[in-house]
Amino acid sequence: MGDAENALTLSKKRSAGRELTKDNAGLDDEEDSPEQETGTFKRASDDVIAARRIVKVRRNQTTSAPSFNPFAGINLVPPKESNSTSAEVTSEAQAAGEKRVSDDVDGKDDGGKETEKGKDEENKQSESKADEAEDESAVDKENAVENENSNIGSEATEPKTDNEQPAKEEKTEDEDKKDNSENVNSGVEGNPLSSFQQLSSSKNAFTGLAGTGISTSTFSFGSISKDGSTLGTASASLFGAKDDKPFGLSPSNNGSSSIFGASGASTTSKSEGSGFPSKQEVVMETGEEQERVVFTADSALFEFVDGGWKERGKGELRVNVSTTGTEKARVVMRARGNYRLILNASLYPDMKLTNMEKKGITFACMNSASEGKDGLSTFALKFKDGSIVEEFRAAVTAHKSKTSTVLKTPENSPKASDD
Amino acid sequence: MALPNQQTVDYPSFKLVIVGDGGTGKTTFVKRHLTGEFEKKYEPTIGVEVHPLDFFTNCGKIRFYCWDTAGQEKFGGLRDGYYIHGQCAIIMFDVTARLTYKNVPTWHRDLCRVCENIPIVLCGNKVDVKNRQVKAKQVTFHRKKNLQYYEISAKSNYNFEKPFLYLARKLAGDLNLHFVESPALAPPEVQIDMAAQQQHEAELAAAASQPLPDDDDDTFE
Repeated sequence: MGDAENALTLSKKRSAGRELTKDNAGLDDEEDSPEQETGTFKRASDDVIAARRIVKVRRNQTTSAPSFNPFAGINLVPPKESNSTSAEVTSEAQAAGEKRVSDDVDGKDDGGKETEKGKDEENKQSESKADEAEDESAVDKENAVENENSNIGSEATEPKTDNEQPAKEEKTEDEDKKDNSENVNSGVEGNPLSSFQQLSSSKNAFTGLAGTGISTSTFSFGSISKDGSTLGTASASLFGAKDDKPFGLSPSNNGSSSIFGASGASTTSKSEGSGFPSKQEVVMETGEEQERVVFTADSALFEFVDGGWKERGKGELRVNVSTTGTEKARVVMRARGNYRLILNASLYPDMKLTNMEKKGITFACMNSASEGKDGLSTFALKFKDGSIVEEFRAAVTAHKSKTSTVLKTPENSPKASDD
Repeated sequence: MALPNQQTVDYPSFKLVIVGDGGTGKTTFVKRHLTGEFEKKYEPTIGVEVHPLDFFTNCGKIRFYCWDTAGQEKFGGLRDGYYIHGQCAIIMFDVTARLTYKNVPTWHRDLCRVCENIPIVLCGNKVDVKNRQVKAKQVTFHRKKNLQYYEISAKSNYNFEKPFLYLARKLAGDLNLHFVESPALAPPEVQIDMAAQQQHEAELAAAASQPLPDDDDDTFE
């Protein structure tokens, strides 16, 4: 291009046209330019100019807290040029033959984002569909609300597509659009601006932490940010994977063996199961395979702590009896919804059950589902109906004495027992 | 992601940032999942509390490090350090307090400034309350921001696992992921003799006379 001519005046590629010293460092652009241009400047022909990419670089507005940005001072184009856009051609030619380093962030990224968004919507829709389909055995009175929500989910596509209409160069202060460009940045792989952003945000982390005198002060982000900026290592598998896409550190999730290892990619690409390695189904054992259920009912579990009852969850309670010949029995209960184990205790011969008012029954047991506690704790179960309380009592009474008297170590599972 | 004094786990774990105005129920929500308890007392969170929360899914175990943050500005506006490297987020508001919904865009903006493009769930909490100020139809913010919205109640447990389920699905890239029963290994077989039980007798008696909480008529809906 036309720039080549200018470059010839310099002795070698990418060297400064003239040395800066303390004497001339502060000189104005206007004084600089004529010196360098002597004799060599000529205006490129119109078609050459037409072929040139004239790009304006402006700092990404979405970069968080620019004051912390270590790259804040960096301008990809000498500042004088951005100041004098009117003298564009002149300055372009003189800038030591330097072709403008720039990238058209808005324009380039819009495409990528659009597809990404599209996919995302697709995802979302099927998500809400799945949600609906999945029988939640939901509370009926709320069902209407739920449906409404999923409708909202799919409606959401409309306004979004509006936003995506090429908002390329135009500078909108509209918050929506701003937000869009946020998304845009993270979606683009290897975008240099993004990497800067990444660095700057890690910086923020440090400053932020320094300021808070709270528990997080022991939190070291050091290794994390290292993983983020150099290539991730196995130890950082999740972050590595996470950072992978937005910041273009492709090999970073090498060491991750977890099934969610590539999860970061899914977060960002949101492609609907396209060759996703993590999806393999894992057979999860309930631990109750070798048992039969002799009693089951919906219940609410409470634990007696510091003189008062604390709820531990609501869900299905079971009394299980081992089928391996030992007839050992236990109570097992999981919370509805998240299926967390909230009660897991062996019955024992001396177990004493006391009825309570409000369809409750209380007993002591050693709950291995509650962490960090040894010994007996007092629990109470509340049932829907007084008759269920009696059924529960009968089931426990019938099986508590059969509990094996052989001493076992905690590691022993029912199937491993020898009697 | 994990704090140095927290044991690392050999299964996937994610930093989950929970934000929202003070008193919307973030801590109660987390506590409900952690211990099953429904805390009625309001004690504003100061700074942040990080709790590991495990779920068993058909794709294996998964852990959320829940960053339960202070909603009250006077306890220090959230520093970026709370957000940094967040991999998913919950923004919570209170459907009985309109202002908490009005502030959702601010929370979202702050969050997105640091965490770009992470899955986010918007939660309208306390839907069990009879006269709410923010109706489901009035909640529109999530539409333009591509968030998932759930109406939840930490008190009645309505939808209380949905935010985690949605995030787990997004993070795993598997829309069919679902929670499964967490395994119940055989409990330790320890002899509980009469001595031990007698020692416990006093508590048992005290407990039996203490009425169970009565506030949840909706326990068995």
